Amino acid sequence: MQTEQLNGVVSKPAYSSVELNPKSRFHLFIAEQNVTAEMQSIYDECSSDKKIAVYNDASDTQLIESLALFPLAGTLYLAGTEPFIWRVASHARQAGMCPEQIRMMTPVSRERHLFCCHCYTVTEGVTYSPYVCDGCGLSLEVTDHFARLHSAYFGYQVNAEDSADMPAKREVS
Amino acid sequence: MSVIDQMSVVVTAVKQVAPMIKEFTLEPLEGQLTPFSPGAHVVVTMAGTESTYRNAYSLMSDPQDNSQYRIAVRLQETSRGGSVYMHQQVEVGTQLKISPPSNLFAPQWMAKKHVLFAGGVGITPFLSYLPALQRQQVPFELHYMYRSQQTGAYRIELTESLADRCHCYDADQGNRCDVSAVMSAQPLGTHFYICGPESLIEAVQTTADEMGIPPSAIHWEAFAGAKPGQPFVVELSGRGVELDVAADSSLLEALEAADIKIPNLCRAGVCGQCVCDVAGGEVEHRDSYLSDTEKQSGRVIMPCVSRAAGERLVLDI
Ligand code: FES
Repeated sequence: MQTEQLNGVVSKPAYSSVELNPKSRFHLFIAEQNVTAEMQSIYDECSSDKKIAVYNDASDTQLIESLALFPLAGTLYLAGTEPFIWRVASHARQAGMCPEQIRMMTPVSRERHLFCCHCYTVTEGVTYSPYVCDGCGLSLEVTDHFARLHSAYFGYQVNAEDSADMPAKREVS
Repeated sequence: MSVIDQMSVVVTAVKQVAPMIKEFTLEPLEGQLTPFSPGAHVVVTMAGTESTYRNAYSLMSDPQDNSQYRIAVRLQETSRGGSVYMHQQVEVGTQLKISPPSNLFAPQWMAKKHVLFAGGVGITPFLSYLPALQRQQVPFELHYMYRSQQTGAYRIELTESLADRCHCYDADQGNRCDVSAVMSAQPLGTHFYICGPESLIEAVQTTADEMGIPPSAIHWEAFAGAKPGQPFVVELSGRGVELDVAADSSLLEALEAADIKIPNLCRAGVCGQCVCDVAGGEVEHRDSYLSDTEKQSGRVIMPCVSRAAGERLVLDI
């Protein structure tokens, strides 16, 4: 999978441009909210059996259903935010897809889901670090450790040793 | 890497299970054997009169049974000696040394379905899969290809216990497996496993590629170990030693005969453990581990299967 390369020791996914899988018998395109220009051009280029679906706030049940009839020799293309595409990818893996059948486009925003290791709450829309946890209110360091199964980054209390010691706010990419 | 300990076992039964295949039951001289994972193999050391052979054989007993291991050995016409030794010298009561099990061919536990292609004696690793797959209650199919005049061991037992999940193809009766028909009928999440001759592995790989089946759903174990070649001389630059490698000995065996320990697991050019640096001479690469770039560089060799292309090779050992 093009997203498996690691940058340094972190597990933050790296994305590269997505191409049509010419060997595939069936192509399923799933976009969150809008079909991106990149997805549209791959979809237009595709002349074999294909389907496109756009979701607004899709439930897990809906996503699982959309993958139900997926064949062994198919390819899945995903566009949207990072949490969305990894959530679909995780259902796809559960359904039995191999990594190379799942092609992810560069996320449309740099917003992250942040997993709090203290209260297990996932905070959405995170763009900088430290960030206040929606669940327990602690200030969390936003790491580059990405959990593929939960589509969220790992966060831990930034000033646990000394509550007065608050690092400067920085943007996360 | 640590050098793996050897275990001493005694042969407690020998059975002719097909015209060219003998089955050996091995029990520990003391204590218990370790349980293993389906698809695991052991390397058997055979101290012949002229040279010592080491061959990898799949364990075919139930992985949870630690009282005995069973292996099956096909007599190879072009054998360098190992299988001939097993067939002619080994009998009930013979003591052998084996490596602890290692596994380069384990099932994919996430698979929704397993399709197994066995060719001849390639049935052996799957015999250890079957109890595990049955316990896990995951769907599977076995496609077993053989020539009843040579191989085809266990087909009656398999047909009885697996019923319609076992499909037998006897080439001596003109029955052939339509690999593409089998593969095209499978659902998402199916993984395919092949153990058999190169031609069978290639047939499945080519079919998968044509059908657009993802390459990581295809798994294989080539059971062909080292094949003989031209004799050559190997120089070990770090030690100032020269060794002769005979036509029917592998480079790894020649090194081992000189008491030079090289880590190894598969002895078939797939695991990558035995890699050695080359300081001179041309290599005839026969492994399926090194990348094409590494092979072209001529700087590394897998001594378990590969040999010198000329009369001389210098290793940086
Ligand atoms: S021992 Fe496995 S590649 Fe040589």
